[in-house]
Amino acid sequence: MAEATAQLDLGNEYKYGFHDDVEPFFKSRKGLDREIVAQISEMKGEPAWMRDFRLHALEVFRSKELPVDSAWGGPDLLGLDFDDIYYYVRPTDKKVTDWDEVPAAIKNTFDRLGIPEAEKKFLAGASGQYDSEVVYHHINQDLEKQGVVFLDTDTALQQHEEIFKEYFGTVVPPEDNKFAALNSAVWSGGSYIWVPAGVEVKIPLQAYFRINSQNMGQFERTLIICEPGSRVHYVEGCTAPIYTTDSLHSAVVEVIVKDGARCRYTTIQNWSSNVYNLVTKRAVAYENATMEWVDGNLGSKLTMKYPSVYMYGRGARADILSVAFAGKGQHQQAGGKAVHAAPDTTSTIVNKSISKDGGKTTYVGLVSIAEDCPRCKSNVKCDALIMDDKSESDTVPYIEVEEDDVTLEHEATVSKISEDQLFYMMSRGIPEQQATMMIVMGFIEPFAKSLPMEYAVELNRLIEMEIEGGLG
Amino acid sequence: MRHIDTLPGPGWLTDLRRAAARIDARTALPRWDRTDVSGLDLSRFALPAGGTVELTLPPEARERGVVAGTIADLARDEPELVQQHLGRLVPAQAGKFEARNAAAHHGCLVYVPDGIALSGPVHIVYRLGTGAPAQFHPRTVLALGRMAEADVFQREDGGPPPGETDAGAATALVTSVVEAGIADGARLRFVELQNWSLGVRNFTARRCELGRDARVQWLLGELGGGLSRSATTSVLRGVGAEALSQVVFFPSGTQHMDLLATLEHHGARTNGLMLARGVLIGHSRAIYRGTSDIKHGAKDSNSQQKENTLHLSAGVRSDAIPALYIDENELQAGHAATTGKVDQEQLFYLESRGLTRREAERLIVHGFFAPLVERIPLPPAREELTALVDRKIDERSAV
Repeated sequence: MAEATAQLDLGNEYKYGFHDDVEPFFKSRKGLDREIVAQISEMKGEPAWMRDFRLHALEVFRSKELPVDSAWGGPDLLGLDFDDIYYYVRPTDKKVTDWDEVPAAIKNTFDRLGIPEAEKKFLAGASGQYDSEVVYHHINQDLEKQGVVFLDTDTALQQHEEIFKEYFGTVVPPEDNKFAALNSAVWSGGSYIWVPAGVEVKIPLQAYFRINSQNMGQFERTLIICEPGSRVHYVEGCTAPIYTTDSLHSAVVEVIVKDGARCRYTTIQNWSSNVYNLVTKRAVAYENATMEWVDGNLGSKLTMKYPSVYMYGRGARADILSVAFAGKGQHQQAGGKAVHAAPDTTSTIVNKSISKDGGKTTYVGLVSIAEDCPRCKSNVKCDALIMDDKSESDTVPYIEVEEDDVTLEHEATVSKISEDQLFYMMSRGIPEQQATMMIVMGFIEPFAKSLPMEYAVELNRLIEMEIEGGLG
Repeated sequence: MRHIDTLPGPGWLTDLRRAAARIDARTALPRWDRTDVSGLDLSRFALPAGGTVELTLPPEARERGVVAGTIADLARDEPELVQQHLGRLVPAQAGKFEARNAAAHHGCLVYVPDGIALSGPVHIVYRLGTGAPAQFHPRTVLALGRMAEADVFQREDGGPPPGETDAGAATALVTSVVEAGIADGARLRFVELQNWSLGVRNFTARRCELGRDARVQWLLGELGGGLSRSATTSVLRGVGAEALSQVVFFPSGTQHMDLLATLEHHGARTNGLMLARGVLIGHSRAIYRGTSDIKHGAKDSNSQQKENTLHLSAGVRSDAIPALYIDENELQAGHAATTGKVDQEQLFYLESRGLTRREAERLIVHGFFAPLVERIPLPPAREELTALVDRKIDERSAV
């Protein structure tokens, strides 16, 4: 595999593109059928209802067409071969809660990503997902005292089946889209968070996700339930090693934010440039609840991701802030959806995209305001920065209004790095590369500001690498 | 196919129509997002197609070398001119309705030679009778030579009322085509008021191509049709070309309007602006799609759009889809959209001055449209548009 990696024409070197030789404990055969789905469920010792749910989702997956939207020349998904993917790989035979027990090869991977230091420095539970199953999961004592449940999703199903069953699949049913159906059939891993009423989780909960085995799809499933008046901030960061053939990442994230609760979900995604990243992220927000999606998309071959908030309660609020960076051979299709289904609801969508070295960014967004939902407000702002004349940027916002008493604003701009700005900075003795970097960081500042500090630092470093790669 | 032979024009035009009819026959109905026409049964609209065409030229136009007339007459008298321009920008291959129009059009062609500026507007009226079922396929072909200047005022109206048994059902099919070639340095201002009856399903394609430093202004009023889809495309081919694409729309009752404006920037330093203002009442539905398509090489171009919608009733729905497709980095592009309702304070203020609510709303609607209406260069067109808007407000009052 090391040889194969070396043959890739990467354009610029992908820092996290190392590969550790981990012997998978169990690996399903390639492809997808009822037998494999049933086998996954059996391996996990799941209750019958979950097995039936998976099998039903498989039927839905088979019956649905690939999403192709001719209206805006949707990206090409035909390069995906669903029969050439391992749908389930379990890397080790037991879960560990102590870092010392984590196998050395896996630990090595995490070491290079800086996880243990992060774990030492801060925070509550860092749950690292290595291939399909969470192998390292630590829950901070304080969280347990507060009654907060932070588990990998498989364990949560075993330990909290009642609450799990009540919410699982209610926000994103398998029928929603082809990839949600696929995830529902073969999901494995992901995070489960339950925050009791009135509890405020003061520190961000974090998880690292990685794809490791060649040709292995990763189908994690995350479920977050915020009881009334609670607060939580969940952070996921993604990096993946480089492979020679296409990998598929198709996650489903469901968030339920009950009355007066507040949830922020932060993602920094940096998949290697062969990964198809097709994610369904959706939250429902009830009365006076606030849902915030903070979404940074770097890397991957193709990303299609539109974090959504369905506002079902009066006074609910949605904030969607996303940044996309597309380099050579990459297509970032990121956006956001705000569905106003109750009066006095407010949404803000801010999208910043940067394309470079022939990369393409597309913003696809939706603001929908239903009938009989007066006094809704929505503000959408999309800014694109195109770094060179090989790169492309598309912006396609959909705005649907059925209510007369609304305030709705949409703005978009596309620009390049101004020669004047560069000239000014260079005349002050700042080298061109550094000046470019400063301008780009200024462009995405609203996003960087909303990240926890250590993620802001990582984002800085990743963007620096992207810019260096192109100018070198 | 036999109905084609009854349409006017020389043999070569009939051959062209027949070829288009064959394309029509093998082309499926389009599948559009948000405007579903898949259930439209074209066979129930009676043939042959027909309606009236009126063309009025400003004085002394012919003396100055302007060639104008119905396409059928000119096909006989000036075959080379017609062959050069007919179907060049909107060919039969463009789609089902474009093919239908190419096969069965009634229309006019106006050619303005190099350097000629017309002294007044060209008037074109397409009118459909109240008989149903019917179909009518108006086509306007414009060719402006280098440095030529022309204003065109086109009106489309008439048509049967909506079907009685099935409320809102289409009783007439209209496909309308405008193709305008605008050579280097030429200038076209095209004003159109579309006011088909509610029994009409209208499908319009307007397309112009601009040479170096050429300018176009589309100044459109979309008021009629039970269902109306109109796509207006400006191809900014030459360096320094400029386009303004503006539309005022006002659907009421159960009207469905799907309006597209597209600016295709090919040339460097091309400049484009799309403006749309719409008021919706009753249970109407409007979709506005403004697209800036900046092709590689359109360096230092600017493409902007602004859309504002005002909802005057609770049961309406408006969608805005302002898209940017950018292949070039040396440019400026942007769009902005707003939707809102009538400001209650404005209403209160006007009512406190003794105006009835209806009069107050009327003032607000006219005030809302004013920034676009003021851009229409022809006073009679402004007045007519204002009168049509008034009539819509009155009709609403009558309900």
